[in-house]
Amino acid sequence: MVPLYMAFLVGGALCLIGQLIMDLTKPSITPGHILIGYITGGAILSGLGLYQPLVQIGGAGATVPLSGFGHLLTQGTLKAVEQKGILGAFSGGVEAAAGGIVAAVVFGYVMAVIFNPKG
Amino acid sequence: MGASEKLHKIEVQEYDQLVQTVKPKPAVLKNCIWAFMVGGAICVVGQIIANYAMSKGMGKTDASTTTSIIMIFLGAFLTGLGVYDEIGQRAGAGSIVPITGFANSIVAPAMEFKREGYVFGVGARMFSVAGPTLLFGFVAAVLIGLIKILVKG
Amino acid sequence: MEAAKKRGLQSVAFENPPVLTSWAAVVGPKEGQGPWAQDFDWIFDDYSIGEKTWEKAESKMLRETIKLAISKGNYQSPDIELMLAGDLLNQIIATSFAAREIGVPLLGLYGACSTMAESLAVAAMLVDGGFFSRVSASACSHHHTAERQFRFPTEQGVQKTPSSQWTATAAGAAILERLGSGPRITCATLGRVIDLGQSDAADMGSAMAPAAVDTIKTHFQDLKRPTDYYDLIVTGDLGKVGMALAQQLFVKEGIVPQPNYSDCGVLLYDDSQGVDAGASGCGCSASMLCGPLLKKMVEGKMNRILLVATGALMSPTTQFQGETIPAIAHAVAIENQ
Repeated sequence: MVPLYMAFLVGGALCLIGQLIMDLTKPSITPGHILIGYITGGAILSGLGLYQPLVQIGGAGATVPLSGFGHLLTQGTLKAVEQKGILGAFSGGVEAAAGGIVAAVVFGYVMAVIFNPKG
Repeated sequence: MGASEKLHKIEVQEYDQLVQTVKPKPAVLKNCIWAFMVGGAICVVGQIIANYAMSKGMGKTDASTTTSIIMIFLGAFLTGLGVYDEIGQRAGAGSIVPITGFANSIVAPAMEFKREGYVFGVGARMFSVAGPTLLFGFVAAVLIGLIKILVKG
Repeated sequence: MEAAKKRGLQSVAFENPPVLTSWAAVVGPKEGQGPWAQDFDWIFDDYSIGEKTWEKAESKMLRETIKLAISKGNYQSPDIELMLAGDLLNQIIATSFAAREIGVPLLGLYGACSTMAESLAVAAMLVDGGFFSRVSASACSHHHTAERQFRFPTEQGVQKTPSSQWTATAAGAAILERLGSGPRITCATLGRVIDLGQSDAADMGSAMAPAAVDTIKTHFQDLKRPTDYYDLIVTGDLGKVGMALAQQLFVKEGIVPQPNYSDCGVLLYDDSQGVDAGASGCGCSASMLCGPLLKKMVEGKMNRILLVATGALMSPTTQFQGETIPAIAHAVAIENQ
């Protein structure tokens, strides 16, 4: 099991990089851009085999940031490609990430129905 | 380029230099410390959930999925309560980068546009940030899969 | 042939300066916690003002402000011949929906946050021109409607930069008449659209400062007034960043002696209210004018002010398309005579 302090350090470091991107680059960078950058970056690093070592060291510190979600998509795709070839390239990623995606959509909708913005 | 255009360009450059001297810079060090602490703390919560799930006999993959689902729920719930934006004001990327921030980016517009109805208000707007995020994630993953097939083939 | 009341390039001087006979300012909870609470007519403590949507709330705020200005002047709604108003929302819905219930002719205006000065200038021209004898001029903004239209949903965890401003939840309305007693609008300078290439939507002060200074400089040239003529020159919502830039541009443009200068966006809130560079929005200059500033004029603490309301004329569409931010500023001189 990954010790908690490693999750803290790795997760914190990933967020710190995001903060540096927001503070030191163009002001037109929004949270949306950060999320897109992380999911894509995670997917690419994972494809290059560079993200798995980070998950070994940091555990949830590497899987909870959205780059971990990109990693999950890539790993699912690669695994499915082994088994099903080109069909796997299209189905594997979403299969692996299905739980998270559906949870996000459903919880998002439910919360929006229950709560109103406070402003 | 005409003379007046050139003059305007010089004026624009000069003004931008003046703006840069006056405009306050973000407190990078303070922001980074906040982002590190809050982002780290959110991941620790995730690790605690994952460890608990594994101690109950779940496999690594299932534990990881369970963690994601619970973290997404927490992010969505805190957004609903009106707490997440307060955290985000201080934590910046610390609360954007974790998957809880992804949940926030879904619930915030969904709630905000509730008055425009449940289909084109909540239903459509909830994907205003999540949609492009998933799009780029899917495209990257599919491309990587295809590249692997090409390289192997 | 030069028009009789036109002065210089962009200014007009009124022959029979219209009188501000009545006015009202209404603000939201945050503005009510600022330094000017006792100068506003009504501070509501709930952003929704009992309405179901933020848009309805903004519209109600504008409607109540105009009604308050009417009743403070001991008039009924039909006594007002024409209503001039504007807000920040798409198709200026807060204005048209408010006018739906006031029931007088409407000229809706859009000048972004410069709307209060625009409506005062147009109203004064219509009154001095002899077309109308009693006109209301007003503007409003609501923090929550503006945020969701121009920026992010209010519950999204976004970090504000130190140059960002807080859209004021506020409205101001004034009644202009041919006859009566009160401060008068003596002249006005209409602004050009100026764009010096700034594109940061979280830093409108930098985008608007050149427009404000251009209008102020033209105002002095057109009307041949010394630069220390006014007790106070007050810009609309440049905020701390824009105000600092304007002060530097005064020097650069040779506006000497330095006028006594401030900015409604800097004045509206206390530093402790967590608003970064200050306030913005149509309601910022509208409520500051129809609240504290006109009160000070009636008390005789100030006799000549120049309101230079500033507007950033971008939209979310132009921001996404990577356009820079064009800005405008209109100046209205208000004097005790």
